[in-house]
Amino acid sequence: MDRIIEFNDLIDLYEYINRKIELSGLTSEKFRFYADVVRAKSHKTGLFISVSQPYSTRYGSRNIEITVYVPAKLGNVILSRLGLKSSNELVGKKWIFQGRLSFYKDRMSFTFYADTIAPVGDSEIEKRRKEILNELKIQNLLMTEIHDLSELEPIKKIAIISSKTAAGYEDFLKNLTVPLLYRPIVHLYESPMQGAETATGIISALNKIRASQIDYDVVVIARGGGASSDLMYFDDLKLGIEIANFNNYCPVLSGIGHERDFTIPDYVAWKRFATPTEVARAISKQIEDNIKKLDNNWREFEIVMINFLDKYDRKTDESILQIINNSINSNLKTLTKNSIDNLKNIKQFINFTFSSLQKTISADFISYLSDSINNELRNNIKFLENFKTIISQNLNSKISHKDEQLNEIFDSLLAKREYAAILFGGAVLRKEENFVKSVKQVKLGDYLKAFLKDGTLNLKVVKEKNTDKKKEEIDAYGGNTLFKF
Amino acid sequence: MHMEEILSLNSEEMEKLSFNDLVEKIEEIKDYFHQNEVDIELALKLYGKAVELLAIARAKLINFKKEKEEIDEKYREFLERLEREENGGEEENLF
Repeated sequence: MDRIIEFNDLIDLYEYINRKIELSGLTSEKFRFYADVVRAKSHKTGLFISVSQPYSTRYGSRNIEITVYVPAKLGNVILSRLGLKSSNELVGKKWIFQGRLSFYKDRMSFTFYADTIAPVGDSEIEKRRKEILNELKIQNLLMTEIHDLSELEPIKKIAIISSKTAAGYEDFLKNLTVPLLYRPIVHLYESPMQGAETATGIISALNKIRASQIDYDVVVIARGGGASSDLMYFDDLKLGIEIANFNNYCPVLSGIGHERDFTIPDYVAWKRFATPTEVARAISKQIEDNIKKLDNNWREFEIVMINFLDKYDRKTDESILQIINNSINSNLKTLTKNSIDNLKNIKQFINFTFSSLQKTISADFISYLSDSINNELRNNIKFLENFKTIISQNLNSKISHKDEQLNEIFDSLLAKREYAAILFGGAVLRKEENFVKSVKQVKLGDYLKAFLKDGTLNLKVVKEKNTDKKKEEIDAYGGNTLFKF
Repeated sequence: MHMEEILSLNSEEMEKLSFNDLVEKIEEIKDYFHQNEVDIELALKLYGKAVELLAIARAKLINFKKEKEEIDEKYREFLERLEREENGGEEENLF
């Protein structure tokens, strides 16, 4: 069994239905449709337009119908934009309606809340635009000059009129590709960019920009592409006049729709661009061109100065070289003159010296010198011969004297028999003060002293043999050393 | 403009010149070097002036942080004031 929801009254029922509708998101969606107007009525709260379309059932033809509501503040704008004097002129024609569904409490039914009504087909839109253009032309407000952003000061502050959620605004920001140091300030002044509020919204934004007292370099009106009915609300005479006049305060750049789309702002803006992307790229290019202009000038200036200084250096070098050259030449001339004079003097001096010498050195003088040298040599030889004779005589005398002394010593030694053995290579033995002439004079353990020609030995008797026998062995010691004979 | 006139510009006068005027003067000095035999003393003066002009022109390109912050602050304050005014006169909702 189906669940039954019970309500105490219609208000409860309405609130339940309204809540369900809101949850579904139906009233948040935006719709555009084509329909014939069957009735239209102006009211102080707005325009009430009935649109209807027949459809067939098995019971015959019936009509589907909905009320289109346009708030009063938009109603007059829409009628004006469509070139209609009253709402009655909507009746009997097909129009494009754009807006949202609204659940109307009083009737508990859907009403279409329209922000845009546009004629079907571009011809009507074109016709209306031409009328506005003619009016702007009469007022001399159309932009006839072709401007370039290079005419402007470097763009550092941009006011952009767009909708925060519009794709055009995003495209603009995305394509503003400038190095951070030079990136311009971008301030958004929000405005509806579609529907009947478009023109009033943009005019309001222009007024705000002026009121902000910020000296923006350019104002950009940016909106992405869309149907003709979306863009037709840019075709507004008042908006055209405002933009044209605003150019005197600050240049307005339009970037609305696509390449093929032309709206009134495009004809009065300081410069028209096809899309918001194109505006951003042109601004980026202006900034980059200015940077390049300065960079190039800076580089060229460096080159100019380097060339100038090189030229100046060369010029200076040449003049210095000329001075040095002159100086060297002058000095060389002086030196050459002095050298020649000196050479002459030297020559004269040499000639004079030679002639003097020639006079002084004669054959007699040479002969005299030769004799002197020979005499000197002869004297020296004679002296040396005499000296040799004296030395020889002196030596013979000394040798003879020494011979005599030696003979005397020998004789005295021979006179002392006990020591005679030493003269012939033998030794002399003494025991205390007595000479040892026989083994019998000694016994075991005696200490003896032996005198030889080159020194003495202390001896100890360690072995004794028969008197008939000779001592065969004597251990001798000298100091700490024991000798055996 | 003759070089004497460019050389006589003081800082304040140069600051007042537009970016394009500054560039024009820089180029005039450059052309003067190309077209004339310039004395070293004048050359150095002109070079110094060109460097000054280039520096001022460069400053006109740059968004200095402090300047940017001041402008952003002015913008924020302006929007807040507008919002307060708009909230004071809110329209009646028809639906």
